[in-house]
Amino acid sequence: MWRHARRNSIVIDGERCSSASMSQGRLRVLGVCFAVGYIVIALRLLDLSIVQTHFFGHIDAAQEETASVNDLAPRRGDVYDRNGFLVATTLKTPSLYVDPSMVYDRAKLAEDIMRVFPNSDAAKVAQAIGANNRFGWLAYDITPAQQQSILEIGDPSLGFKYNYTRVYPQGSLFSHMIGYTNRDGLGLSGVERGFDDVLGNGRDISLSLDLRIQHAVKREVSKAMNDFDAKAGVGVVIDVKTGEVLAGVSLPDFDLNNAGQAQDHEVFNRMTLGVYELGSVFKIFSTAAALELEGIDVDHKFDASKPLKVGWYKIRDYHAQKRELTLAEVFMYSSNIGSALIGKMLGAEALKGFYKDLGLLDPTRFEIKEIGRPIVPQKWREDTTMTVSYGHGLSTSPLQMSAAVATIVNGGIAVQPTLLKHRFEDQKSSDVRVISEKTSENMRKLLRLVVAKGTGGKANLQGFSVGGKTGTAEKSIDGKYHRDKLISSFVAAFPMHDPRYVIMVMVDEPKGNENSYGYATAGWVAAPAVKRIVKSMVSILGIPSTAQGVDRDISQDLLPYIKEPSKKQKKLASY
Amino acid sequence: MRFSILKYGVVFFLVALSIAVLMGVSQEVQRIERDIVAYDNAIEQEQEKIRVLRAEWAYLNNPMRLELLALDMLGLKSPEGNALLEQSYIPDASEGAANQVIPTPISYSVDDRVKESR
Repeated sequence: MWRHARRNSIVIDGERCSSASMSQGRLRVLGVCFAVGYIVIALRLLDLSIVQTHFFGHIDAAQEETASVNDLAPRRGDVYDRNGFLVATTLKTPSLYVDPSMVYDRAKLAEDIMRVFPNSDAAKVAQAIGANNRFGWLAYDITPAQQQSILEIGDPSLGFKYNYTRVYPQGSLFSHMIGYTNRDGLGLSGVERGFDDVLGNGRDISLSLDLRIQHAVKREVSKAMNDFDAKAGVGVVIDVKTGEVLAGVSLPDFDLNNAGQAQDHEVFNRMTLGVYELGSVFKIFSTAAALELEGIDVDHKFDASKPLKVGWYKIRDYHAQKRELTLAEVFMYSSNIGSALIGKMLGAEALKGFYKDLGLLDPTRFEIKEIGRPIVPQKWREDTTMTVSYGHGLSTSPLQMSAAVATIVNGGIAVQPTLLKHRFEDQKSSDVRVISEKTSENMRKLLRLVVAKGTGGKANLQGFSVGGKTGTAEKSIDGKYHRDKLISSFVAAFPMHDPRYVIMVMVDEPKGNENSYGYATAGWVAAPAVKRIVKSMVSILGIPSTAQGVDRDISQDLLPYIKEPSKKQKKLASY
Repeated sequence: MRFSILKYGVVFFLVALSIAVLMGVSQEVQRIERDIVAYDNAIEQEQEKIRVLRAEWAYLNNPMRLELLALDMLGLKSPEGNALLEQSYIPDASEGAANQVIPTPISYSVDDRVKESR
């Protein structure tokens, strides 16, 4: 019984004990859980209040600043010249703003701001600071030094917003080719406009332009303009095989970093958008057409003994020989009468078709969008055909002219000018043949003859076989030609036995000077500029002299068809 | 009873250890994330500096500036065209060609236009 009772009591004791200990156990578990909970909370508080703010606070601030920059639109792509030289890039710049509601002392803040930005408009600054709103711009695209000065003011109402700014390290060197963007990064002219979608998506572009040659061309065109007190000038260099434009200069120009300040006459792109009656350089095309389409030879004779009466006016020669001239002489003396007769021989349709094949009657396809539409006669009567054959009555852009000349001298393959660097050297511009190899070769001899013995003598650079054609045209203003307002141009290629480059210089309204005996014609104004450009190019590109490489001048083939001019005529030839 | 204390002690220890490890891992992850952000920022800032330096380099290498500096400081001028020849044109001394006249660089008179443009 006892044992039983004891056993029972033990059982009872045991159950009680078990319940109590179970309760105690649960309390302990709860206690542990609470303890753990409090520890977790305490640790987290420690973490947030001390560790996070004390050790990593500066990183958060940096993260915030970076985020404000990364929120910007994609960075605009860079532009490089053909040798990888940077010509346009985008840099991150701070702009200063004010929150007027947080300004404590407006007068003092305005004074501090004016101290950092002395050129700012004080009234505008005061207005921004005193405005009844929460935001106002104080200065755009400030320099790091200015930003530091603002930080030193330490006013909590001032803040910075970061944005991308387009920077053109070469200033005005590539004004019309590269172009510029607005503040929002939208391309407004030149390559910036033509490749807006590519650059806007952050992709870089390598252009065909060569910084060094661009500089040389700008320097020499600028010198020609200064020497002859000219109004404007253009210089173009094209690779005759690939069509790559190595230099494109239109003067006057402007600093791309301050494009907003530029005047209209500076912004105007005379190389691609301007169209001009370029005069006798067109004889290159009418002569090539005669050789190609009529099958005549360089000894074919034209009567240039007296002025040619067409309708109510007469066509005269500037360097009149007053005799029958061979085709070679017509070209060498730049005879208007001979060229008019060539036009008459070809007829309107043939000449028009030939000009069209050379791309002279349609706007040039080019990567930049400022392209001028040629001014073409509406009706091609006989007299129109005759005048157009020596370059009057038809206006084209200098770029268009250079590309057409490249087509003539490169063996006859159409040249499509481009501003993009070709991936492979000697990559052909197109496969379209415009004239035969034979005609191209004859034209090269004729062009060389002009420089060796004709009107382009001042472009002759010994050892480099330069060939070219002068063109002096009176400007037509309100339908009337002005004798004292000339467009003097010279388009050349070198080396003529295997041309690689076409160079064109055009000077608008040059005035004769003492050194030129008062003449402002192409032979005096543009030809020497081309010579200086060639001289620079050969040293820049490392082109060796051909003096010993070529046995003889290719124009010597034409000597049998040239009557040696008198001494007086020789002297005049260079005018 | 001892077993229970031991058991709870072990559990407490394990839980505390887990918390400590978890906290440590959490802190480590946050630290690494912040490091990454800091490195990204530093890289971005360095790249920006490089961009500025490249722009400055391009600006300082403006051909007009270099031309003026070369003339002023070093007296260097553009070479004449005939300063460059193909190697094959250089006469071979062994063939008794010492007397042959070959084009040599001509000293270039000071280019006044460069001075004028300043």
